[in-house]
Amino acid sequence: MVLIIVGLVAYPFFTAFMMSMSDQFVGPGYKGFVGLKHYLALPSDFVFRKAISNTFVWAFLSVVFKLGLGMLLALTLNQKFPGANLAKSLVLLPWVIPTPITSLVWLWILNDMFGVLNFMLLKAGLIGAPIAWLGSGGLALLSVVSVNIWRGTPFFALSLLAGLKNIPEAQYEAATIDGAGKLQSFLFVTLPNLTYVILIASLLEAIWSLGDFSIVYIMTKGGPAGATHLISTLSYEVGFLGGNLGRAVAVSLYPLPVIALLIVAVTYFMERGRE
Amino acid sequence: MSGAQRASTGRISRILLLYVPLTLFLLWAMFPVYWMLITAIKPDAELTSARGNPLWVAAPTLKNLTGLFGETNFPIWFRNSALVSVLTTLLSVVVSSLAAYSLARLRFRGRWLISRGVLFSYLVPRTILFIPLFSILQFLRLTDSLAGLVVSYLTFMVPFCTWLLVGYFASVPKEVEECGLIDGCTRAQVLFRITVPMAAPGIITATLFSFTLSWNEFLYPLVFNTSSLRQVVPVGISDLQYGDVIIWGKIMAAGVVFSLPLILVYYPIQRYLVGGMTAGAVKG
Repeated sequence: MVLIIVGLVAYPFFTAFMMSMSDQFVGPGYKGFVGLKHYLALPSDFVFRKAISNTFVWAFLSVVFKLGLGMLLALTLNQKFPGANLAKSLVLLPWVIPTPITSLVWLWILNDMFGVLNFMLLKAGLIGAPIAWLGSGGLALLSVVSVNIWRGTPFFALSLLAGLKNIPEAQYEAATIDGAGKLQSFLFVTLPNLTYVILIASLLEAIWSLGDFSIVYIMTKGGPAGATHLISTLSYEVGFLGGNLGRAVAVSLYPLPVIALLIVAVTYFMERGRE
Repeated sequence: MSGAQRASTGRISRILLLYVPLTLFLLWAMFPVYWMLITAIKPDAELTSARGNPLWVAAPTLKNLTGLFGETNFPIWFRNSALVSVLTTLLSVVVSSLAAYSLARLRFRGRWLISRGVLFSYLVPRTILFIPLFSILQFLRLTDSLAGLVVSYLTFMVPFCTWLLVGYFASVPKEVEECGLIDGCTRAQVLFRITVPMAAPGIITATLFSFTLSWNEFLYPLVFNTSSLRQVVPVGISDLQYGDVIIWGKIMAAGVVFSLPLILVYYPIQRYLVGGMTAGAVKG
């Protein structure tokens, strides 16, 4: 049985490698071995290069901001105040709403004609004319990344909060006696205690965000003009709108060395943590 | 107590360090949800009118909701989502429990390799596997069917649940099981009367995560299923946006209806879940 499970992934993996070296188009059957043709052709493709850099920008910003904001949120929630449990439930909302729904809600908020964000910014006098949030390259990428950050911050915050609760109070007392201020307590007591949680959560987030698909697909389909394509959305477009499955698999396999490295790292730390 | 110390540093620092960030975070987290709710009960005319206050609704209506159920395929998508998610969850939890138990208890050659493989399988992004899976499903004649979705979801849910459950089963002391065996239980009785109840928190966590993962899944149904009648909610409603320009009311109503099961299921046992996630994914 366990072999079946592993086979469920190992076999598609094998198929993936075979397909990426073929000229297979939509339709059954294996067609034409072409060796490394796709792998060699891709680097000179402008849209592909853009998708690669977008994917890494996307992953980097996701990890950094989810971790940073998650830490701020966790430190905020770790204080004692009336209604703390209610607040915890409410900030969890972005994580509970299904991601495809989240993407649609933000698509509507960012709508350039009737979107509420432009309305509020215009009313506040912060902008003079409506902004097409998803209309121009760099801004569109930042817009979709910020949706991913909105969605994922609560998970980081709650993981870190669980870590914060485990830090013995005595360590803070000792630090205070030694004359440490708030910042020093955070740097020398809080952070060292959270190293493991931060490490695992960041590695997992990096792996997951290198494979993200639905937010970008729903909000921009990789547009305008390929400016927000991730490797995943480009692979979908090449394979199912362009029909070239072989090339599409090659696209999706390109970042595999980085992903594999991250997976090895995270499994290593997790197995060590389990013992 | 750090709480007491902080309070003594004065009200201003408490406002700056607690109430300001708290308010900002709450606004940030809740506004889009509020916006979804308010849009869902707005008449179309209000959605695009330049007059009036868009943050409020002048004439609340249920027309979006009734239209969603009456004029679109939403009821069918919802049924499909429910069917696929429930079936996948049941199958993956049962299969994973057995697999996890054997990994946690039985000693056999290659155990280490397999448990590593299970974790790997879960972590490999689905965006790498969707095209080969598509051609496999095509070969099995399972594309454009709900059964195909169940099969494809299992490929990532079983590894995840197995990995999560191994930790829980391993935490059940072996001695308790041996007592059961001495008292005359069979191996199966030990499993179902002693080990499973003791690993219950893990099984509940795995169930909830499986359900959520399949409820949210977007890529596989988008790629594998083409006809609208065999589609699930996430893909179905994101196609709605291209049909008509001003159907945001209906889309947001669909969002509310589709989020409700997760909100109803999650909130009562939220603590359980975060604990489970940190135990499984973060604490190891």
